[in-house]
Amino acid sequence: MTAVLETIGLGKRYGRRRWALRDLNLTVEEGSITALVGPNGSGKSTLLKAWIGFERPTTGRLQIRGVDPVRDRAAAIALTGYVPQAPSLYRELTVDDHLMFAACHRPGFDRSLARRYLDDLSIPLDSRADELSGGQQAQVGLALALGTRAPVLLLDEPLASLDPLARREFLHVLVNAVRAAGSTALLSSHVITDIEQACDSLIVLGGGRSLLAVSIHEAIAGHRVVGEDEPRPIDVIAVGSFPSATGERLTLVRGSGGGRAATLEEVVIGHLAAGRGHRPDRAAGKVAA
Amino acid sequence: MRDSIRLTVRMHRFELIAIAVATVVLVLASYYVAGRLEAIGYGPCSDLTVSHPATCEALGRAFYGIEQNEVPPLLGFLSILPYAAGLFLGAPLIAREIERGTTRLAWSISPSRFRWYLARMLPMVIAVVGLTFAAGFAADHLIAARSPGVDMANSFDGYGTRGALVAITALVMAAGAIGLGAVIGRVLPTIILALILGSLGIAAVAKVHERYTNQEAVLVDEAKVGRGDRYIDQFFRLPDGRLVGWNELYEIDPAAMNDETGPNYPIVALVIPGERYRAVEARAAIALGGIALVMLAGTAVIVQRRRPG
Repeated sequence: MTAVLETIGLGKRYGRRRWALRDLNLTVEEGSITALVGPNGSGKSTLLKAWIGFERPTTGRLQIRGVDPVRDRAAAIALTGYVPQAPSLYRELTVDDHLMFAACHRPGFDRSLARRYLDDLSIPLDSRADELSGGQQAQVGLALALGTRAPVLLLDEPLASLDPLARREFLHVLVNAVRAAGSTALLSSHVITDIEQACDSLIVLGGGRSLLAVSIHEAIAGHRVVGEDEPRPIDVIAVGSFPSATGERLTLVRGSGGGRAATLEEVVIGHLAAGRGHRPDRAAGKVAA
Repeated sequence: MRDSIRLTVRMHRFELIAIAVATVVLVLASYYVAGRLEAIGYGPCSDLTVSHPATCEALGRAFYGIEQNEVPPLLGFLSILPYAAGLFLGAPLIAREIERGTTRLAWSISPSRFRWYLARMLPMVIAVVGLTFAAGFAADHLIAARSPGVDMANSFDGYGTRGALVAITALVMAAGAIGLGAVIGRVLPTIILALILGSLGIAAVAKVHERYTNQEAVLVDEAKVGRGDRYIDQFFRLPDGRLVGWNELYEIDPAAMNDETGPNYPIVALVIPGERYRAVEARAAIALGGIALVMLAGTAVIVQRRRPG
């Protein structure tokens, strides 16, 4: 598989001290839908903005299909369809005006394709952006990104403000479009359940560093959850401990034996907890039997 | 490009309509008042070199009634217009996009931010210049009606508040406001700061230009000062040919200053002849226009390098 998105030792510092990203080495494979997960301030948005040339790295470098967005931002943007974090539509313009805007400014923008997506979702083209619901605005943002027919889609928490139905519809459109076009998508999100259904791969960011980067299948198959009072196999590596919804203390472990199968949410939470320093056995790196 | 310009106009239709309506009202009012002044037919009465018929007194009352009550407020509004047009059409152009986050969408869609900037900037600059040029032309007409018998093409009467300089002033304000908006990224602070810096900047340029222009001044006898000449200073010519001001004359001949009829020396005036008006106006327009172009080009660089907000 070819790496479409790549970072090499990437670091981004705001001001003199605050590092949003630090020594980040990542690859995203061509044709995949990859989830980028992490708490607020973990550097997800900064990473996506760096790939589209909105942020300049402080250290290291990054590439999008071999193009360095710092050196050639126009080429990087031409390869990218971007859905910003908050809906960024022009409230004075109608949906159709937005398509016209994109057609004016983006060579090769497929207005009829974008229109078709919006028609399928029954979003009226003659509505002004400020008359649309949050879900509809997100869909318009997605339709604009898909209409670019870009080989790479970068989606910055587009699901954050959507209700469950709108989230499901959004992901449905995204997955179908990406699969049909053979493009690559990187989707940052907090909503783990939706990610599991839509994505192939997972990157967990914490404190500006990569905590985990595997396929969804590997993430689930390669981890188990062990309760506080349960016996723990000796050959597993503890990742992080965290409370369950009922308050029970759970430990995420790497390996295939003991405990029970981990959910994707538990995998993510366990790695985030590890990223924050909640390791059950930081010294040994292993859980004692 | 046409569609892009149409979208820009739609995004800023409130400001455009407000400034266009204000301009149209002022232009129509100027022509209406100018028409009334001209209809009085006071022109021949204003010639001080000939004796006038008795009807001139009544005509003068009617003429100066309008000239003193209606013309000043109109010229006042017309002099504010280029600043208002420049600020309200220029400041939101980029600042509002950054403030509302629409630059994230626009700059992620458009591989060329320069092209995006041109599509935004050109229609607004054309609107600013077009509207204020109409206002400047109307002010020209109004001042001509206020000053019957003066050839406006050869007169410094109303210098800076009529003709092309009105449009150029608006262009400078707009260019400054667009640039500041790109830096600040918020509309209200941009308007406030652009008003302060723009006014100071234009005043500074005018001052520098005035000093430069004053080098072209010539001395003429007081009686020969034309109505269109720009008056700069006044001197007394002493019998030995020296030119002195009031203070110097007081030191040389204090007795002359005490005379109730004033100093009895020939008076000469330092003026810029009215015939120089077009050349001076063109030079000021080129200087201010150049500054505006530099600011617009600088904004293009800022747009290229800026974060979308």
